[in-house]
Amino acid sequence: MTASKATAPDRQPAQPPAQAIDIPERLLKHTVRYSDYREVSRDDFTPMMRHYAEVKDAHPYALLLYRVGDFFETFFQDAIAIARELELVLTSKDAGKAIGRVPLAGIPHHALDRYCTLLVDKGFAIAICDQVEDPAQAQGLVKREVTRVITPGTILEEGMLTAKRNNFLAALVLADKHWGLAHADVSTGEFFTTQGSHMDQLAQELMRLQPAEVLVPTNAPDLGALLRPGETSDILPGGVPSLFCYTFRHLTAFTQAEAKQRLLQSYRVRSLEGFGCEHLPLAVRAAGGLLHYLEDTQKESLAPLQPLSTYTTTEFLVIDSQTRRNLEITQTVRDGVFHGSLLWALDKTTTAMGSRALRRWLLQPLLSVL
Amino acid sequence: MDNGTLRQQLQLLLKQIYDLERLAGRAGSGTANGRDLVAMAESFEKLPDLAALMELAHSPYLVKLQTVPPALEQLGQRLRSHLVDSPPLYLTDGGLIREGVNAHLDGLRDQVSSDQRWIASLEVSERERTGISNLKVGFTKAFGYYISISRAKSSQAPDDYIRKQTLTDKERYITPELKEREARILNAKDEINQIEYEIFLSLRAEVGQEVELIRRVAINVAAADVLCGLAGLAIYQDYCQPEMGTGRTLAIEAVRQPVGEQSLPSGFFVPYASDLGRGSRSDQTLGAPPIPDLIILTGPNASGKSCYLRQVGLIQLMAQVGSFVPAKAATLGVCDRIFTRVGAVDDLATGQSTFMVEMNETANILNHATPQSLVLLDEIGRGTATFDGLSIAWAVAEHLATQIRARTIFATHYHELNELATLLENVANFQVTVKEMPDQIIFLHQVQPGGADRSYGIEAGRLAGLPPSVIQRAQQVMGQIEKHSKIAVGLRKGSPSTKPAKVAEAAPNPQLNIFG
Repeated sequence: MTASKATAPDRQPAQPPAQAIDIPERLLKHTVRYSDYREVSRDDFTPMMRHYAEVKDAHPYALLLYRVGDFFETFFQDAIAIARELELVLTSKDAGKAIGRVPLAGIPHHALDRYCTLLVDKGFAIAICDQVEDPAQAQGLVKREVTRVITPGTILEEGMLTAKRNNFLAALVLADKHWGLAHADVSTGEFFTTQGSHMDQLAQELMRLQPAEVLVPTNAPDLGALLRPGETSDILPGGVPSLFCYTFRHLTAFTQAEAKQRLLQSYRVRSLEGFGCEHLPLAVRAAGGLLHYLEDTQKESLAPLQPLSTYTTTEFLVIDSQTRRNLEITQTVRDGVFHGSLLWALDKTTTAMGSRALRRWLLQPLLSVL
Repeated sequence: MDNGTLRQQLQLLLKQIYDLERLAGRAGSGTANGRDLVAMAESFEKLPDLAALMELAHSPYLVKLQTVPPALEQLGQRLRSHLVDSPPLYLTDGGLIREGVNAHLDGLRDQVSSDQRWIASLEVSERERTGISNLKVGFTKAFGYYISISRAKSSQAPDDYIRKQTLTDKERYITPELKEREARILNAKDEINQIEYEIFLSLRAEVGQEVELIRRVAINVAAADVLCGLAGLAIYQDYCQPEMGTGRTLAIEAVRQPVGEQSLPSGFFVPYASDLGRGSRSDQTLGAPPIPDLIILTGPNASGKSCYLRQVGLIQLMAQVGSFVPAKAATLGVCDRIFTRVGAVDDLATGQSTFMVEMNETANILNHATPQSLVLLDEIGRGTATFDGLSIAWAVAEHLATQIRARTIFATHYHELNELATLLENVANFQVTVKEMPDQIIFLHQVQPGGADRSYGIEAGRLAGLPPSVIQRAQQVMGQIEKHSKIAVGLRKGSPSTKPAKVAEAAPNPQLNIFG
């Protein structure tokens, strides 16, 4: 034990200083030696930690909650993140003889839903890796699998959604000065796509939709964790407002061929003519990439989306974010609250569906008048 | 939709309809629970009533609600007949499915209840048989059913009792028959739970099959809800139906505040003050006074210029959403974009100054506005030195009127801009009027043709409670400045037919004059 403790720091000389972890002293029970699971050699891991690292590799955008006994545990950077965000004690766990103790923060399994709600609310994506066989009957390592992935843009759980507004997941494709933007609300099945040619138009469209999460394709090898509002990254293209959650995805699913194939297959159609986007490559790529993400995160539990519908921003009365703010359509200028806004004054609907529809109409009024 | 009772009935009915869009999503993804499905069934049951109410409707959304898809009606009935009225949250603990749905299930339940009855009567019969008056039959989760006898009486236990557990003051026994019944109950319960869960899953899958249909109906229900809400609002708040056209007209009479219905004091009557855009149409009758594209709106501080601008924007927006509007009458042309620039706040987040924000937003407007746009500008050029600001304001107004020809209302304190109207035929002056009393002013909140020549800024300051000495000094300073200023001369020098840039160049002159 002493030997392992002595050798480990030598192996990883480039340790980040402890203060970079940004956790109050009272929550810190051990010195943090590894703040990234990728710093550690896989061969030295215990079998469980090795499996953890594999699962983590497959879900880089999410915090991985890994079931160990009665707890869902998080390690390394995830442990540091949830200790900071949820005010949990950051402790440590032995991860292998040559490694020693690595950061650990855990939540009791019965409190999972409560903590998930908190984390998603703060803009994190979560992958829940549960035990899928009875530990009493398991031989060796208990079999674990990711059973649920919750990201800000793919919430279905009633308690996490706001009834009176849509929860949009958006996907973005940029090419030169042109862009494609698809958006969907998984809880209601709405699915739209469009493309355009000015970056400021794109920003306006994003501001109108206020998506809970935006997918961005990249060919960077390290996708990194989901960017929470305000966080920046070199991968994030310029001109895109930083106030949303961004999830980076591999470019493959966003290529024309893959995206189109995925849409055709998913809707069992032969051409995209019926959706109106046959000749809008960027719109198709964005929609296909979005669908791939849903398939990836929702697995078999994905409810079918409504038929994809293509729109152009010029079909509607354009209200840019500054006018939206000045006219106080969804919130007041002074306090940024809903009370006192136009929507507040006009919303005399009795159902959540009606309320969402009115919000959509106000932010995207028609040009054609009956 | 002006039928009050109909509207109330509709609203009453809509209140009983749950969030079908999201319920359908949960059913389709297999996360819906028993309560979700019951909520859905209850909502489906309301659809025929809804259809009856919609009989006379014309709106395309409402017409679609006149017929209820038979598939949904049947689905609703199936859910109703299968599921109990208030199912438990957990799906695997039973208690979900009604009696009479599945014969095997009913049989198992009968058997369980007869076994349970037997156990319930066991206490009485055993007391009689053994003569032990404090004999009890109980149940624990870990141990199952047992017969308990106090320690003192334990010697009287019959021979067929098997002692299982000893507590401080009593002994617990079982009998073979008790254990047999218990096993039967537990097995049957497991089976019941399993069957119920399977029935539930197949019901949920059935609902999942209809997700698309449910959502199609839900969209129309949502629209009916919105329209009904807007209609109610229009009636209670006395809104009018705007006349929409493809022309450039923008005529609103007696605008009111839509928000909170805190209609401005004294009604804010606007007699066709917002006639915009007819001037450039060829169909204009000869000889009629030209109706402008751009209005220069002047008026004292605190007279409601900004409010007025906002109302025009909101009314245009509401009309294009399909709502009635808070005014006595309105004729509106459809516009492709509404631009606004009203009082800015420092954009602290991006570190831009008030003036830079203002200029960025103005640039955005000039770069994107089209003749079909509605542009509402409030005090452009306020955030910088007086003459810089005035020059920018002049150039922006001129550009909008001559190059873009968008329908524009330009509220400003630079009364010098009123000169534009004499130079350009599609510019008109309007003012928010005040009544001037000997030593104070009364705000009338009316918009009338003509330009204001004073801002009464000092008056406003006095009303807000600035110290008298400050007010006095301000009046003194103003008198001096007015005497020496030659701004108006400087503005006339730049011909409006030339490029706006030239006008901006002309601006420094008055600046030199005043200090020179």
